[in-house]
Order: sequence, then C-alpha cells, then structure tokens
Amino acid sequence: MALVLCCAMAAWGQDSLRHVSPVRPATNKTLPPARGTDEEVIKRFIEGDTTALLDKERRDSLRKAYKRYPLLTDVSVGVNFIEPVLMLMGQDYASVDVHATLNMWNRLQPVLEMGVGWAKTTPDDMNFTYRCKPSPYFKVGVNYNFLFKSEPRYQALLGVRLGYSTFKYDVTDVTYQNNYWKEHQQFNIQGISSNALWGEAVAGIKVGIWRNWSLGWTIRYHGVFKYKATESGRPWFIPGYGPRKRPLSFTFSLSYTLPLGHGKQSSQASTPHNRHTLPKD
Amino acid sequence: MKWLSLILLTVALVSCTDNSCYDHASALPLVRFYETGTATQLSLSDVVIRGVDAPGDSILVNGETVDEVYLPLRASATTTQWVLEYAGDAGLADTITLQYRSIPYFASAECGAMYNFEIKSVTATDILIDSIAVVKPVIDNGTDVAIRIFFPPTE
Repeated sequence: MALVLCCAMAAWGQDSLRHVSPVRPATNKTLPPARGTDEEVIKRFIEGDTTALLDKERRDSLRKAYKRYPLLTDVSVGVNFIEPVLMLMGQDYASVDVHATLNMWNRLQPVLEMGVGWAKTTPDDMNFTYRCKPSPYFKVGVNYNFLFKSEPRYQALLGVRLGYSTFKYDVTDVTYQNNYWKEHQQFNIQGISSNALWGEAVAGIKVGIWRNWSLGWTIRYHGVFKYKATESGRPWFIPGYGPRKRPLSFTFSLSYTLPLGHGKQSSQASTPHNRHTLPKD
Repeated sequence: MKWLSLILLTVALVSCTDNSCYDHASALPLVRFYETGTATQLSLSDVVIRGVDAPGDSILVNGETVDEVYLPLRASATTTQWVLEYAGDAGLADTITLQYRSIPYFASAECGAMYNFEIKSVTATDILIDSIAVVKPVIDNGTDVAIRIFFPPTE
C-alpha cells in the first residue's frame, strides 16, 4: 500500500512539472514601427540610435503640445490715453500716442509709437508759469512676449524703446525779486527751442477683452540720454517722456489686433498624420 | 508673492521724486579770498561790505569775519560795484567793479526762474587787493566759487 502511494505521488509530481510553461525570451523579436512613423525615426530605430531617437520624439511631443506661431502672427494698432484722463484729474502734463505693433512668432514685437505731448503748470509758491505747446514725439523699440506659447490675446511683455522729441516751451509771468538792491521785475522767456533723446525699459501686460480688441498696461523706467539746454534754461517737460527728472511713467492703451497668420500655425502642419509618411521600398 | 512685493517696493522707491531745490533760488556770485602766491584761503576780519548806490546805504557784511561772500548783482543794470572797508576804516577800502549781461533763465520747476549773469569784466582797486580773477564766467544758482580775490601775504 505504501509502495503504491509513493509511486502515485512520484507520478503526480512528474505530471505537475510537465505543466510548467517554459520561459520564451523575446530578444530576437523586432517590433515594426507604428504606422505613420517618420522615415528618419525608422532609420534610427533600425540603426539602434535610441538617444537621438528619444530626443527627436521629445521635440516632436513639445511641438504637438505647444503651438508655433508664424513669422507674421498679427498686427496691432492702439492708442494710449491715460495721461489726458489724468490731466482732467489735475495732472499738469499729458502725452497721447498711437502705436503699431507687429507680432512675430507671437514672441518678438517691433513697435512704433507716435504721439503728441503738452504741459502747463503754475506750481504753488513758485514764480513762473511753464507752457509746452503740443509737440510731436516718436518711439521705436521691441517687445518680447513671455507667453509666446499661449494665445496672442494674452501677453506678458518686456521691452525697450528709444524716444525722440523736438519741442518749444515758454516760461511766463516770472516775478524776480532782489531784496538787497530792492529790485522787483517781471519777465517772460518765450519760444525756447529744445529736443531730447531718451531710452525706456518697458514691462507690461496685454489682455483681450472682446473679439479683436484688447487693453494693455505698461510701466516704463526711463532716462534721458541727451537734451538741449540753452542759456535761457533747461526743459522741465519732454513730450512722450514727462517731467525730465521723473524716472517712471505708465501707459494704458486700447488696441485692435488684425490677425495675419493664425491659419498657418506650424503645429497644425507638424502633426504626424500630415507630415509623416511610411518609408517606401 | 515675494517677487511682487519686491517689484512694488522698487516702483514705490523709484517713483518718489524730490521737489526740493538744492541750489539757490537766484544767481549769486560767490567770492572767496586767497593769499597771493600760496593760494591759501584767507579770512577778512572786521570787514564791511556794501554796494555802491545801494538803497538806503544798505550794508551786506558789517564788521564780521568772512572768508567768502555772495555778492548780489543788479539785474536792471550792467554794472555793479562793491566796496570792501577793512578794519572798519572807510579810508582803507577797495572797490570791486563787475560788468555783466543779465540773462533771463529757467533753472527748474523746483528752483524757479531767475536771472543768470554773464561776467564781461571784473576790476578792483589796489589798496589791499593784489589781483582778482573770474573762475566762473556765467553766474547761475549753483554754489561754485565764481570770483577769487587775492591779497598779499601777511607778514
């Protein structure tokens, strides 16, 4: 009985070993590339250049994830009108300008600004009235849009400007008093001609509000490179700059954007279905 | 949030503009006294300084000790004369004559408008004064020395 039992157990053990599935190494099996894979990818896959392959795949993924905008993305035209509003609230000077911006790749933006500035002030406890008639100014510069991966409706910008203005100013109703010699005079200084060249560092944002209309805010830190002083004086106000000794200015503008190349975004053109083809024998 | 605070603080600091006038509100020539040869600055003691034809014979410096003095010029004239009386003795005095052109000038919003003076010539009698020199031809509202008066060395 015991012998029969041992033989049966031995037979069962051998039978259970027979049911174990053998391990089949797949090292020699080569999976074909997915349909639609780039010819270059297939070539590198065959050559075993996996590092370059992974790098290319990563770049392709980024290209699919982030839109790439065309060279001529859009053109914006706007008007900066904050200072006339502030002048109504008591400010002594104002500059108003129109500006045109070419948006390239939704990243670099050459800017041209043209405007007019004027001033009139009679400071308390001072002996003069300063007037600058409406005079033109020009600025050229460029912005860099840090939100270049997002829609052009929303932009965060840093930029620079170079500004120039030529203008005339009057200082009138001057009262002069010399206590020792007991002199009391009044005089005017009129038609003083001047000009100024200055630079600006610009930080700002732009937000689309309705269809192609958007609002923009900038803060500008600026400094005068050169200005014309005469024997009659130095200008207090520079059109487009503001008071000569004030290093900061602000703008608030309304602008209209004309899209140029939204239909040609390269992200559309670079999808695998449009661009990739199977290699031909 | 830290960056925002830093930016706001920077903007607040930079946007503060100073409305003070750190120069004079009028153009005054600063005259300083020196010793001939060594160019050492001198002090004149017990000196009286007054303008010729000043209203009411007004005296600018009355028996004080000074090493420099601002001499106001008449804007309505092209010549102003000053008398320096030494040791309170009217007989021991020099006269300084300045000829100039008055120029209406706007300095700044803080300091206002005034007259500048372009010095054409300056002369002095030689009772005690050795020589006189203009070192700043256009007098503005700054604080630089405009005229140097040299006296012989004291023994």
